[in-house]
Amino acid sequence: MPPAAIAIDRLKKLALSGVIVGALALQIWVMIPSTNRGGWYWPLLNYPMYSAAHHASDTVDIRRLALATCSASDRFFPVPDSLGIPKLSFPELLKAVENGSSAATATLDADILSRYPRACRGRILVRSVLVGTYKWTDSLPAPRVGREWSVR
Amino acid sequence: MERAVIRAWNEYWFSPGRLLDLAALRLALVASELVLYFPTLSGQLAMSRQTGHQFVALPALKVLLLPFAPWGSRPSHELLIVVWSVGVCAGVFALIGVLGRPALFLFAWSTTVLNAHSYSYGSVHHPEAVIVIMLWLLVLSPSYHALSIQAVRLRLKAAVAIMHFTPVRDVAPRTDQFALWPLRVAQWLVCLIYLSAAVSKFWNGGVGWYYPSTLRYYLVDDGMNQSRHMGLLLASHPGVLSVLAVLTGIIELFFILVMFVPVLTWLFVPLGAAMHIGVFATQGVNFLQYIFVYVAFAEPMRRSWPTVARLARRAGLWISWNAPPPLTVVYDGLCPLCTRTMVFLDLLDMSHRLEYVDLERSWPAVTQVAPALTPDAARSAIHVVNTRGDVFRGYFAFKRLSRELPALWLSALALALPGADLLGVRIYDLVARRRSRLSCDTGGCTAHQVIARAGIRSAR
Repeated sequence: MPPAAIAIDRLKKLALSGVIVGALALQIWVMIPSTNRGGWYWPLLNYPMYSAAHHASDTVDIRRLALATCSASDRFFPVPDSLGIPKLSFPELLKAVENGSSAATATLDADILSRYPRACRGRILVRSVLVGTYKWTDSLPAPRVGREWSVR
Repeated sequence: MERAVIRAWNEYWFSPGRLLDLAALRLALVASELVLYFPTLSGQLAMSRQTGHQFVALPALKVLLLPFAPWGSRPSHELLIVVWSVGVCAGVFALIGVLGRPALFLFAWSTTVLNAHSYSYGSVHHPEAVIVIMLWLLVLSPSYHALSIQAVRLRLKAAVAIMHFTPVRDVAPRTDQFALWPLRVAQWLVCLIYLSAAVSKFWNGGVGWYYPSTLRYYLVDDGMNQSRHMGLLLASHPGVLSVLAVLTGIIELFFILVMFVPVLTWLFVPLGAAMHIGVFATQGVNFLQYIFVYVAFAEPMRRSWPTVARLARRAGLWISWNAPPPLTVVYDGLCPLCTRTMVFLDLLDMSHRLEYVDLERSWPAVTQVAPALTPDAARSAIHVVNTRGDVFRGYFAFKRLSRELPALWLSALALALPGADLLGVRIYDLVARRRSRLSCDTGGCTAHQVIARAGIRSAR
């Protein structure tokens, strides 16, 4: 092998070693669970999903969105889809709206009006399922109204 | 000491690795990203059209769009259309192995930009992250030197230049000192990600995570929200949930052992794949991308295969099967078109179902499989002989081949249509009459003459 080729090979190995160390070191750094970096270093991420423990006394809240037009005679109808929002993000958005987040409400309002321009009022319906007693064969508890608001 | 460390480092990361392993990872990642996970243009445009969403550009998006948009700005519709179109074209090129590194670079760039754009509107999701990192690492590797059109063109050129075709299985696998490191980085990344998930469970959930109520909570939550009936059904069985929780912990915590004991890949890779399929089926959470990244573990799996085979033999689970290839292809080694055709057939013959015999070099082998075939008849067209001794000539040889090779099954269907035989025979005869041969086509060429001619030809 000519000396120039050997030198180029060495240089390549040095540069690639930097890439290897950099990629793995950053991945290890973002994995440290004590710091929440909010996805800022995407695509390098830590993986804390589904890591919280739950007990038999915990409840799972299932949220659904229902809408009504401004006509006094109109009843609330359940929205069948997730308004084009990724299915995994939609429950999070509904929860934030139920908790009164104005940013989340504005986001949801925009999504609602893009699909249902005549929508006037929105409702978050919540069914709470007790984890400890859940059975596949049981029917779900009746929903309660988590929040009702005017869609703008 | 310092030299020993450098030597050990170079041996670990830069030992010669099989280009085929690396190319297989390229195919798996690019194909899965392009076909299954590449962000849709309508989704991207819908996101950027909506008002009321809080847009905070991720650093990856800011950096990669810097030459085309101001720092941190929301990309315009036109820019998104360009990025998406470039991504699709580059992805196709990267998949088939045209334009090598530039195509991979553009595909990695557009995939990162589009995903980072999606995540700049709210919460960041995890499934695409490892593929995005790996695409960037593949840009720096020689992954397009095998299983690519570029590689096939080189092989065709070489085969025609020396007028000699050798099946892939008879050639030592091509290696490169820069082929191993991306595979090892992929392996380490997967192990670190699993470890991160395991550590988070201990950190946030503690021992309580392994109680059946935890998995039941997640199954009911996702099962209701994602309409996964299988998850809801499973949630009713606390005994099964306990076993699954412990199994998940074992996979995530101990997957890293495969880096030190390669034979464990045979255990952990199928377990990991089953875990992702199970999570998808019961919770609708799509981490199936990891199964494509598992292609990187083909290297330690192959390395540890002798150990697995030994263990299987000891346990009486080994079945030895050395059946001969079902078809023998007799071709004219002095015809460049025939040699090229053999290169293509060999490429499509993944499970080595074909034996190739060059009639000019190995006539005795031809007389063994087809005693009735004369040299002149053999030179006039391609012949295929099955294990029963039936001989198929010309177009019918191709028809038989198309039934044998899964990659040609679609064409086998087309050749079964009424009238296909009539047309096929005519087209084959037309092509066969017009093909060129080297000059010794009137008499029998000896192997010596062929090699001598090939030598002259390649020297020119």
